[in-house]
Amino acid sequence: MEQTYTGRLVASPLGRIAEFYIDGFRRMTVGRTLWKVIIIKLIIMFGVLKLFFFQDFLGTRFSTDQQRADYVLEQITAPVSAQRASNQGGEL
Amino acid sequence: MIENLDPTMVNWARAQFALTAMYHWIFVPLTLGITWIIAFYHTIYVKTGSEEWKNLTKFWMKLFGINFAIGVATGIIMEFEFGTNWSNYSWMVGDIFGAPLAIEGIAAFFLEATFFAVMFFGWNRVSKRFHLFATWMVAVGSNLSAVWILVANAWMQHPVGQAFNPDTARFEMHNFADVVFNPVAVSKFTHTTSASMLFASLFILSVSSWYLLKGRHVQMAKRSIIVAAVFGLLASGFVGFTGDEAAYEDAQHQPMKLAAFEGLYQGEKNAGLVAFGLINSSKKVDDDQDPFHFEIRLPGILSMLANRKFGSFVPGINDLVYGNEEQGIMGAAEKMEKGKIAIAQLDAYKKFKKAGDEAGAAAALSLFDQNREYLGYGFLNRPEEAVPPVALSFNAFHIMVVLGTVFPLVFLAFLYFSYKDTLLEQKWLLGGGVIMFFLGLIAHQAGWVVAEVGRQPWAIQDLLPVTVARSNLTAGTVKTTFVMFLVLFTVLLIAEVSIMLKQISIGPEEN
Amino acid sequence: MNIFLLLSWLAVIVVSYQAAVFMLKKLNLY
Repeated sequence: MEQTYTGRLVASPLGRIAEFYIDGFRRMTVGRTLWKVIIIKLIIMFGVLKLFFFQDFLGTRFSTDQQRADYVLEQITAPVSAQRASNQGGEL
Repeated sequence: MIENLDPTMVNWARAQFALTAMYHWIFVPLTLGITWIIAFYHTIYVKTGSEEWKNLTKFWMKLFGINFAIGVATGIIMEFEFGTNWSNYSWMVGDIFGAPLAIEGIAAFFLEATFFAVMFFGWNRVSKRFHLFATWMVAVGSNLSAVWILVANAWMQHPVGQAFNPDTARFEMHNFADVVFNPVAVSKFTHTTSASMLFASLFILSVSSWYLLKGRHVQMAKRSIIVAAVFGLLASGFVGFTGDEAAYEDAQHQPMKLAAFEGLYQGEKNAGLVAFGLINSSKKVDDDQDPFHFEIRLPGILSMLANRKFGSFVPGINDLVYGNEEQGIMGAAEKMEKGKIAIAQLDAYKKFKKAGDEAGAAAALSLFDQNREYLGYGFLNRPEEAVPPVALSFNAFHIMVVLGTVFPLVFLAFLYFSYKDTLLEQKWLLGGGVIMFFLGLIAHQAGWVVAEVGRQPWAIQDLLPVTVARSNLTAGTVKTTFVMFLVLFTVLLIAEVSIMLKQISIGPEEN
Repeated sequence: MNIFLLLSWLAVIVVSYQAAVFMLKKLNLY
């Protein structure tokens, strides 16, 4: 075992890597403020916006991909369907 | 149902996407560009061993870190918007976008978690060589992850390597290599990243100019300026070169966009490039008004730019809307007929399949295939709808180009006076240097305005209009989230820019 | 054209570094 730069005795490479990160985070100055901002942002984006305002339209309304496909197809062919229906009505 | 669509919903959704995209695009180019410059500074430090170069490098790294933190999560909200406001689009392109966006996310995450950490935490902790390697990897990695989102955008502009599957209502990727090496993607990547190099150079120029005006950190500022000005100058040249390529690609695959950003209504051979013009913003394609209040055209240049052929014909908006038989150009009206057949066959195919009529389905599919490349036109009500906002495209394009010509001159001036060692006395130039960053901001936002406004009405060029791409939502919800974003972004921008300004006013560590 | 664009993109970065170092040395700022 050898001493790392913080003077600790760590054997495994994984341990040394973990210490690198922990020590790095501890030594941050401006970084602390930045991380606070990042965390607040992520909470707002994922915890508020995504959860309450940005649900996946097709994901929440349908449970299978086939249903989603059918819905989209219906949406894009709708004017044609309506036209066809009114044509058939007219022919009678 | 499309005929019941709320047009204000589409416009609010567009506005929301534009807001989030432009906000995102304030910070990303600085990251993409400054990482290269920091790698340069870091390399010089390692080569010279000088403490001054070390402090210089650490300072710009700090500002990069702040910019990066500001930019975090500004991109992901656009993905949220795909799923909520643009469900038809997000469903239809899911197979194409899925891989590139996933790769971008994963690659970016690993890059940040590893090389970023080593770059920021590694001073006196890892070997100098590994530390420098990490800094270079931050530059390489962030630029490479930009590839994927640009591949996605390029596909919207020129949908290659795909085929529409009428059973799943999705564009399916048939050739990954075609998608990745789409000439529009390569053009976009090289132009966007070099514009970012230019922008980052302007940022360093601005901050350093401010220090020189105050007589602070003179040596550091001078050194920073030299590297940034050289990089910025060479990047400017490449931006122009790749811009030319982008215009050529537009002419080949999105001629309406080119016509719009040049305000060209009447196509012609030996078409001229507008060097300066006051465009008539009230002109509509189907009226008699003059497109320009005033214009200066450089004869023949547009033909060269668009087709790389002297004297060649460049289609104007009128040719593309109403057709030009002599030039073999199909007008939007004719494309609309084919598009309507495609949509009708899609509907017929669906009904035959449901009824178990395989022969009928096969016939419908065959007819669909014959008209599929005009699918999007089938959704238009009038051929004039194929025209994007001309004045906005024209003005954005020309602002971008004019500024793009100014920047290399500014870099040259800084290099010249540095060479003469009289830079500190050129208060006028230093003052100009300080505002360059803001002009750079305008230029690169203008560039994206050209790209995205110029492609209207298409979400996918020729295949899916924006009005069909949207979700079946009312304007109310979209309006609400728009306002939320506006407030959130304003607050965040103020908070985060103050952190940046504070660190700039503190300045680098000096021995 | 793709290859040419990508290679020249790389060239901008490499040449810039070399040119910057050259300028710095010339101005005794290196």
